[in-house]
Amino acid sequence: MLVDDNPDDVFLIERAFRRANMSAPFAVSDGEEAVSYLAGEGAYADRQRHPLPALMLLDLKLPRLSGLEVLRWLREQPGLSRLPVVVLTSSRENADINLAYDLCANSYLVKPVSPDALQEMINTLDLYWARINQKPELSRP
Amino acid sequence: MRGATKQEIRLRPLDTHAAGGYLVASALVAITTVVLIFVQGYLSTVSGERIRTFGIVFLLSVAFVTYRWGIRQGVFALLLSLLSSAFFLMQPRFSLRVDDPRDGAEVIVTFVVGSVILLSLHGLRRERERADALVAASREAQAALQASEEIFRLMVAGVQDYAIFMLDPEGHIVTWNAGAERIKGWRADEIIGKHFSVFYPPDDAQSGRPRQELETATAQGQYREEGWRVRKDGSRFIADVVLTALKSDDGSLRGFSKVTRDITGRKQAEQEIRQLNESLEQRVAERTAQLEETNQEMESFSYTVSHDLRAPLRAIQGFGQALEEDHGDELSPQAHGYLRRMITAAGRMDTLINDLLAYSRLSRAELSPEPVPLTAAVRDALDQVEAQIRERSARIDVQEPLPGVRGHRATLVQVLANLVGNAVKFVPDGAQPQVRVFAEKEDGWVRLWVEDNGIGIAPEHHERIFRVFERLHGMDTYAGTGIGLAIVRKGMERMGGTAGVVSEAGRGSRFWVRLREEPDK
Repeated sequence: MLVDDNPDDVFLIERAFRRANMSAPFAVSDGEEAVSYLAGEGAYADRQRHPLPALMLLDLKLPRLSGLEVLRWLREQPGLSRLPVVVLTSSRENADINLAYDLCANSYLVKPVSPDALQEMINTLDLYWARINQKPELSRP
Repeated sequence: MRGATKQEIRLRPLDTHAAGGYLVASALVAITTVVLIFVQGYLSTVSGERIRTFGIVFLLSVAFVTYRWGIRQGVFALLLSLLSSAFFLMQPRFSLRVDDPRDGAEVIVTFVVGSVILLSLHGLRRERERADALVAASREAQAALQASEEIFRLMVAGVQDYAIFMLDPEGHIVTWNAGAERIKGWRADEIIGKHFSVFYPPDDAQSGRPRQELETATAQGQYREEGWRVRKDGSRFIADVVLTALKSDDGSLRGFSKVTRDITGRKQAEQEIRQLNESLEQRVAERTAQLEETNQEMESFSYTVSHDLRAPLRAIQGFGQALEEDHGDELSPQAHGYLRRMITAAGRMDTLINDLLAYSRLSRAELSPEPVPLTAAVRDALDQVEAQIRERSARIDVQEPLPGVRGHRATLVQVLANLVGNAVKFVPDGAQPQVRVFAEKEDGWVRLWVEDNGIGIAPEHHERIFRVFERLHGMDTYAGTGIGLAIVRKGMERMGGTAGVVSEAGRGSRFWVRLREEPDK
């Protein structure tokens, strides 16, 4: 699952996923939508069509609900709090990095400008989180 | 003691008064004797009888001498009288022998009566002397008192800066001085006898404050206050007042002394200072708030730059490359060239933004100083620029072990990475970069040198290169943002250190940073 409000970035990330021969992640464009999806509310109530993700790529600067607010909400949800979250954002500010880890982000990545670097990052993400890493059990609250 | 004795010895021969007493005594006895010889001769021719009771006549002289001069002269006169009467007036004449028992009785009676007179007069004389001394002493004391009172009165009267005056026990004015006239405006003849409540503003006077103050002074001995008072012309002033109760030895109230000073000027000055202080504090607070706001704006500015300015860059680069990869065969070689330039420019802008953000972070962040082992910091820095080192196959020689310093580790690593990065970058084409890193201890400080074999820097550029955006070369020769050395200098300053360079054009550069030494534990 990818939470990002910039369609260009979403396009480039999805393209990198496709080039790594993976299905593109489900993308939502603001914090509230991310929360609705995870909580299974409204349009996302159908669990068959909208299963819980194995990993969330989370941008920090989002409309309506910031990435950090989504993260804080998520970590308070029993059953969902274990969901691995990788922050993928533009900010290199220490304040953002520290706060994200304080809220139990599992990793913090800065979006590279170079497409090659982005491709490499997505490949590594796939390798680590989808293949090497063991996944926790999740349940909707 | 010795001084006193000397004085006595010196004074005695000069005591003419005492000596005069002896002379007068002798003369009186002689005259009395002569008179009595004639009286005796005359009486014996008239009656054939010889008078015997004449001691009383001598005793007159004795009494006179004793009273006038003292007991010594008196005893002298008495003994001389007895000898003279025995020698000249008693049988046998011109001899001290006394044959007639009646004459003997006369001598004894004269001696006894003379002694009594002598002692009485001596006692009387001493009493008189004592009384004289007392009178003299009291006269002296009174004179001294008068003199001191006069001085005191003149002093009080002459004081200009203080109103000093006295009140009777009911609060009526008894005395007045020049200061009182100057401060309060009344002349002595206008105010003496009036009640001192006229000095108070009407409200205070009506509420009974003057009376309360007198009561307080009576009970506690003194009353002190700073308050408003009124002059004769009705104008007001702030007075510093001390009211003291004057009590006699038996505790009864004699009146009050009142000392008043006009402190309006001082109070106004204090008020002005207080107002100045307040406005200063307010201005400081305002400026601080402004600065905080600016800082806040600065922070949100860099946040925006960090987040939003990079997104379009990613799009330019990303789509440029996607275009090249996905539709490369449809493009002319010229179009490929344009795309390359576009992508490179976007990459350069990304580096610029990163460096700018790093520089602005350095200016804003709190860098709490901590002990940093230089050896480890240099290794971290070399790790950061490892790609550049490898790319140019540079040789780096670090003279370990390096001492410990006091600084901020992340900042120091960034500073050193910039210096080493520059050292391997600015070399002539084709030359192998050789970099030597070593430290010198300097009396509590450590200077770390980064020495290269590069192109060097002419002395006139040594200061410029540490400023933001200053570059000495075109982009084609040596790429860069012009921020690296600015970060070095700013970072060192924020850690309480300094940075500099020793170099000449064409002969390599030696950059240095200097920090407080922190010995390893």
